[in-house]
Amino acid sequence: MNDKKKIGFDILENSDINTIEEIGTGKMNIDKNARERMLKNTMNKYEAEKKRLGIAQDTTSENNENADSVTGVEVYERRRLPHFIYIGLCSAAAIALTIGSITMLNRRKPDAPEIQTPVAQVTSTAATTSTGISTTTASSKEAVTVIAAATETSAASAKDTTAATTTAADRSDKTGGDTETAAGNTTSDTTVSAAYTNPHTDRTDITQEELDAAAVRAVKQLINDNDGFKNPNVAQPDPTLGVMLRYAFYDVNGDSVPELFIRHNYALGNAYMYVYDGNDYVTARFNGHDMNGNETVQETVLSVVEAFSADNTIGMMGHQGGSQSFILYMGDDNTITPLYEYTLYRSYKDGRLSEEYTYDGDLGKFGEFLDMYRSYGERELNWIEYDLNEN
Amino acid sequence: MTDNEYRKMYDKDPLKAQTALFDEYLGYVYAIVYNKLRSCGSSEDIEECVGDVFSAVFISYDRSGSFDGDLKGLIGTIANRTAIQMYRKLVRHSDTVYIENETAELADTENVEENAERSVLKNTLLKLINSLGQPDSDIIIQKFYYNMNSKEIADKHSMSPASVRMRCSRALKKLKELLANEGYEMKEGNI
Repeated sequence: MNDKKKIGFDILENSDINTIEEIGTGKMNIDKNARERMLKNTMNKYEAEKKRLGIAQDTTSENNENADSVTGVEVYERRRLPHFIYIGLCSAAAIALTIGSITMLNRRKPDAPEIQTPVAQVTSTAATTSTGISTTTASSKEAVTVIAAATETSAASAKDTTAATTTAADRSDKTGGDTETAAGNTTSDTTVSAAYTNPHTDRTDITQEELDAAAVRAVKQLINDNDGFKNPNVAQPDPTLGVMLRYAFYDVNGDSVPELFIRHNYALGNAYMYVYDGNDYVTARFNGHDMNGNETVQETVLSVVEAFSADNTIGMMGHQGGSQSFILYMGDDNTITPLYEYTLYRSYKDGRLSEEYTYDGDLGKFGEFLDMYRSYGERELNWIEYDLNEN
Repeated sequence: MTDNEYRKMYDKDPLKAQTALFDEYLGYVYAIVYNKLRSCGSSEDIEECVGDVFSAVFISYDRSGSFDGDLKGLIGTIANRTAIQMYRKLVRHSDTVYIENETAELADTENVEENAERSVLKNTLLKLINSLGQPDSDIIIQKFYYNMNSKEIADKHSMSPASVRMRCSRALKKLKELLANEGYEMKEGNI
């Protein structure tokens, strides 16, 4: 039996003044706005109370000048302060507007089509394109795709289906050989992957215990979703090791809420990155491209998912020499945007097709990607081993 | 600030004197008011009460032309009384119908033994918190007594909120060990 006396911080409630001083009156963090608010409130109450008690009249003979100056100064301060704030805000707004406009103009490439929504895939081999309208009808009846109007307009002039979804700018960049893989597989090559907005929390009172509990919940859910964890004999690559699972916290995007990384070695192993939504760790997602060049929403789950040393970046690498690998950027609000993508047939930069090639058995193209991937540098995390027997 | 210093400053510029006094004792008054109202009032109620306290202090000076005796003691007393009045007002407005009877009963049947034990517990807890050393003791008080969030604490200590959470977690663990050595167990509801 536990006969220890219970004690809590509530014991400090209703302390006497000496105890309060011992606790530390200076420990209270009163920010500038609160201080201003309270001072203003105090002076209002003071003025009202003075009038009510008639103190201003009583002290007229001695303090009339001072009393007037108090009122005067307060009114003067009120008028002057908003004036400065007004000028400051106007200046800041003007500067921000100018800088923002310049940045927007610099970032916006003239040949970039305006895509308002992610484009779904077309898998038909003979698509006919209607002009100027945002629908494409596939004659093979395999798929119907909705494409943003801006892309469609430029595509409308194309003579063949291979180029039907390729903008003029894209065509000029390509060599003749490019059509080999494109034939029979019209793709969403002209699309630019939009940033995917993942769940995010603005809570600032999150405790480490809360995060620990959420991490364990995510781990347990992962284990429950994969029956193989219950059979350690199938663990690979070395079945004698059994299944191992570990997790780590790391704040990728510097929003002070750490992301959760999980790794295990079951069935060749997998890695995961989760974001915290205020209650739970949930799988993060992003708009990427699959092996067929179609834009799809993908999860941050692959053989390798790692935080890079470079700020706000993570890397993901698939099995078999990186059949599909990514370098991703994570914004402060948990939005994820692909910086570089590699697949066996195509590579992408900033969500846009940068190169198309036939599969290189020697993985030469992957080698180029890998060099860049490695240049980001893996960040060492503090891994916590999870005891699978607990589940 | 002493009574004399305030008077001299007030004679030259009353508003400046009042603002200086406000700034010097804001933390003190806020802590006293917070201590009384933390269980029943919102932060707006606490700020309102702080305004009442300083207004009363300024009025007190205007009426008598001086602060009688110890300035800090006077401010502490006014803060304490004003906070108790506010507490009664707030509790009366809540659903607690029998608060007046309850208060009277508490006053009448003051349990000396219970108060003594409570005082020992308070002192033990504060002693152990202080033994954690800086900044852990401050973080624990700010987190669990003043209910500040990690970001507010982080701003005060030039740390990241994540570091504050980590330190707080470790300090709490250590505090639990220290309490266990003294024969106490931390109430889970307080964490």
